Amino acid sequence: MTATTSTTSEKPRVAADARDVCRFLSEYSGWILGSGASCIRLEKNVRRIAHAYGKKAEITITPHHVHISIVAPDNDEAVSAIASSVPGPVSFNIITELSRLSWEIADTGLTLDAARRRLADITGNDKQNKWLVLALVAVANASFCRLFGGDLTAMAIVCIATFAGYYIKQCLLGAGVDLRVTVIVCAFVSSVLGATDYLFALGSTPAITIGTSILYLVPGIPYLNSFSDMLYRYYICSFSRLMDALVLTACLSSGLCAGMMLMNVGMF
Amino acid sequence: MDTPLITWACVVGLFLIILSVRIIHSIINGSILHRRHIFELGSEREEVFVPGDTLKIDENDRDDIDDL
Repeated sequence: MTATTSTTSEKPRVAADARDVCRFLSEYSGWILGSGASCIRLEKNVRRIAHAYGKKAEITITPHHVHISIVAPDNDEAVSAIASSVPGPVSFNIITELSRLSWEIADTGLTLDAARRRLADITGNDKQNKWLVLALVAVANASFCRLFGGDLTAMAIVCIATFAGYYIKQCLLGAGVDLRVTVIVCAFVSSVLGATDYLFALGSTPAITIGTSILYLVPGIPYLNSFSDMLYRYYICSFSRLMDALVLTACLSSGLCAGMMLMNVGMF
Repeated sequence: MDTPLITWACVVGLFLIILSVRIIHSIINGSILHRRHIFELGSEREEVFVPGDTLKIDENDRDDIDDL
């Protein structure tokens, strides 16, 4: 790959080979799609980077793949690539860093080699402290319990139920168990622990305790992305994400119902 | 009649066993000893970055923490 810096405003700040740009953008797209970005975010970032390198990008986004065609306007050279979405958990950190990288390329004229190194850094260094995440999720869910009117006892029980459920979620996902099975198991565990308030008559808001103990499993990001994609008319991705979210919600409901039945908690 | 209590006890017991085993395993492997900082002091740029902001570091834009 050869990269030269241009000084004129009409020309791109950094010239690069269309094939190299396409290869970089396909990898970039796979990561940002797999990290949970909405389609409009992906398209804007890819177009921004392609424009910075003096290329035109045409993008087709499907639920698990991105098809990118890069066209060089000066010599009509066109290159296409299909990238698979990188499987992994949703990471706002990676999405933010990748968006920042696209601006960096557009603003400072980062060369392709430097951009590749930054991409490798971003995707390779997204290590989160799982104990910290676990503690924060538990505290956040307890706060939700308070928002819904739960008393201090309910908050403490929800905190413990969430801690246990989320810990099991981390263990099962780490062992490669299917996400849907994981959600069923975690919802069951959290609802059984959430029913402690019913079982021992500890607090005054047992219904709120059991109801909020599984809130951390609600697939909020897929629902939001689905809605965002629908607004911007990416209907295929929107429908796919909506179905994913609905299936997870059904799994969550199954686990919750099983827990409530075994704990003899009336549903209605 | 005792189904809820038995279910609750089984779930709690299993969870405690899993938690204990994994913590002991982590201690034996030494991974739990490599602690990270839960709280860190970052620069203003790291905390508040809006896409489109200039990426050049402004010498006049200093945090109090830079003087320490």
